[in-house]
Amino acid sequence: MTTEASSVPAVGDRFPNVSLPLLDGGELRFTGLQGKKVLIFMWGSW
Amino acid sequence: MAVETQGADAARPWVEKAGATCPVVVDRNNLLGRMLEFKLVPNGVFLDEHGTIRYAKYGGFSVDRPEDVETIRKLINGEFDQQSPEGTPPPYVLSAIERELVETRLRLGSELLARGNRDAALAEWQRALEMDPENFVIRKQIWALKYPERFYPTIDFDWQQAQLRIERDAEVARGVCGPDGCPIPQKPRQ
Repeated sequence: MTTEASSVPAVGDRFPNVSLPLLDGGELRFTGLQGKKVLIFMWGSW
Repeated sequence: MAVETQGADAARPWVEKAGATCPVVVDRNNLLGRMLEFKLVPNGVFLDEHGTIRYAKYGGFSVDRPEDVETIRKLINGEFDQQSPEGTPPPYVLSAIERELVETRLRLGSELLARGNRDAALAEWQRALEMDPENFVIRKQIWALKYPERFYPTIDFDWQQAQLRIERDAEVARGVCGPDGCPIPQKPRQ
């Protein structure tokens, strides 16, 4: 894991190529969403 | 996307309550918080068909807020010239190694919690928060674990404000925050 201050994706940059587990099994790879417009809503239960 | 270091079980009741029909992923290790360097939610990020970020609002994004809905509607129509709000500049900057340490403690806490060691998990998260006191992903996860009755079935924002003041005062006394204290975030508009 590395984090560089200058590498934070901003408007105009590609969204990070990550995959995260789906709530009910399997996983979602964000690059797999290409071809569609996507709204990512980030929330917490708190 | 649920930012939940307590894992999927903490997110599921809210997803069911909302009747969400979109895919829901759980970011237990704060992977995107680390990559995008956000310290609070709710956030809205809009991607075009090529996966390019066209709009990002960190903090205070709500699908119940008419102006946010209108912005997203325009983006869906291909009007990508929407002005993304400027983020509030942080009162401090962590070095790369400090950020890694914060994230490692956050992940270690999650791992300890998954093994049933709640107190050790809280201790790791508290150490992470001491290094990054503006990080509300961490602070609120601690609250959610310590005071679950304040978060479900409804989130008690008035309690959060009062609790934050108590904790800020203690942190200023310990020298965690600067002499001017730390800003108090506003209650989200409903």
